[in-house]
Amino acid sequence: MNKDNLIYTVTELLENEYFIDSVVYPTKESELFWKELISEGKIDFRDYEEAKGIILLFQDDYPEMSQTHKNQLWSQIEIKNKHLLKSNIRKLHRIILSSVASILIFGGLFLTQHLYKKAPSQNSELFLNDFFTSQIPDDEEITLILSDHDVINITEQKAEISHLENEQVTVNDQIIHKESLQTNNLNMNQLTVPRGYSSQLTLADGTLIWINSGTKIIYPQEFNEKERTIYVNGEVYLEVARDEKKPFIVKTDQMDIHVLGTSFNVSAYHEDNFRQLVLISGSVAVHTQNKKYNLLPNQAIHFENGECKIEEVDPLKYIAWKEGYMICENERFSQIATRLERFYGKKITVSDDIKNIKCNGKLDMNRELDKLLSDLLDVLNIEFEKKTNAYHIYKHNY
Amino acid sequence: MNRIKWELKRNSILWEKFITGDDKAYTELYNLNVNHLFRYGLHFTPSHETIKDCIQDVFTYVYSHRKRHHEIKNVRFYLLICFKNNLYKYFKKETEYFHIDTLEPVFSLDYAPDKQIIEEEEICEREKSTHLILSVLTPRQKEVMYYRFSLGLSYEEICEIMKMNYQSVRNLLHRSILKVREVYPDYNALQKYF
Repeated sequence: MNKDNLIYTVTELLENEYFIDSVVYPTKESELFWKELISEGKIDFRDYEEAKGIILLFQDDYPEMSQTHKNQLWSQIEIKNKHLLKSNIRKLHRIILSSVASILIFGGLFLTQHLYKKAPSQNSELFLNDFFTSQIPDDEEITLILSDHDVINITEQKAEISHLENEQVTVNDQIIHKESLQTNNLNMNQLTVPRGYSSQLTLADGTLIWINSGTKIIYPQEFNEKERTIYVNGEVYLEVARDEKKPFIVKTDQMDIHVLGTSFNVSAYHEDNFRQLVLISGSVAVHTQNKKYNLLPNQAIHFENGECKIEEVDPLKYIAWKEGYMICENERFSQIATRLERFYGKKITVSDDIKNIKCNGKLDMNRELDKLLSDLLDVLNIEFEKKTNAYHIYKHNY
Repeated sequence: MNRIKWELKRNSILWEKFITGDDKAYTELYNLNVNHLFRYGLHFTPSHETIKDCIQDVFTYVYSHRKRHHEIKNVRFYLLICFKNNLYKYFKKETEYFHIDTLEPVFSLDYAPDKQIIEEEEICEREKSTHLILSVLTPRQKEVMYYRFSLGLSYEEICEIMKMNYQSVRNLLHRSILKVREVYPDYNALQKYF
């Protein structure tokens, strides 16, 4: 074919905005339009293909943001906007206050605030003591108790809870709470995740928390101006939204963890005889009753029988649970059984002669417990006996 | 109406509502544009955190200056420019902090982590040839082609976002197309396989 007779060459096609549009967002109409030009001999089919191919080379096949991350970023933006708004109002307040010299009002305000703060804190000490020591009954569902005493039971195996703005709460993408609450710093929410369940929680400041089975967590409806404090009995993995002005504090029964913006995993089940924290990124300070420890990324701190050990670890092993995996490295079989027991919410007993078998490998906990155990039979030379909601594992005898 | 034009129009309507104080329009502006900014950012850095920080700055900036804004012809483009400026500022701060010599973020077409995994595991023929063709272009040539063929920006807009004059943009684009065509698999050669 003689190129001189053609209307469009490759270069000209690439110059044509309608052509670019047709390639990127083709419609029936546009396909017909170009097909016709080809059949009329105004475009060489090969040129058409080449021009199209070149445009397609530059299309994005990059991943989109997940809905969770989109929501999380959005709540961060809203908080920052509100913050900017508030700081403007605060400036205004300061001007008014300084011009109206009224010590009386000032004193009155101070006193009521003081009283208000003190009264519940005595109660809360008792309350916290119970929170840190009591175990979750096995027959419960995931429960969220909001600060206005609204109790929400979640029947699904897994819950995703988000605090979008101050008042809005969603559970598994359904808005469950939108009336505005009378908020003050003392209003606390409590989330209980029994054995066999797991949850993910997004706080209003954008912090993401994965909550492992058998864990309770208390967090305020709204963080106060100075710090962000939550209470944990169990195991959580946190990705803390950075805010230099408001440190994030995780309080557990034997240690407090102070951070600015990091991700880390903390395991602090009251019934366990060890406490453990693994830092994935950023930095944390761990406060125990009489000591303070600083951790670097990929380090783990381990408390057991009054001893403290800091070591370099592979953090993936410690956060695999949030993806439904368990990675074992030289771990006693009894320890694995405890973790399975917690994750599946079933009682598992192990006979003494296999308690100390050392295991290495990866377990897929998205599978049913029966299947998972049957896989282990061949590898470990064991047998198991199933009763209602309970398993007994013992050595296989020939 | 095709998708590009529909989004352009929708963005303009939302923007008008937003600058007169409509918060719902602000939310929708975010939802309509956040993925575009995110993907655009991935061409400059693999760090999702950096990108998210910059997106946050774009939207809070726009919000706090809403009374001073006026009509904008192409909202998406305006947000992209804001984003790129923020990203450069961010990089500048980082380089000062870490004393690195690289002065600005470099545009790339294969930062996306998913792509790299594919490359390591198994490279199908198509991916391989795409990679080969793209490798003849310099970062700026890749950038200009991306603006033109993926984002569908006009020459004037490309001038603004790349801080170049009209003739240079035209030349850059022209040279890039020639370069790609040189290595683009010959249709006749492909035919032999079938």
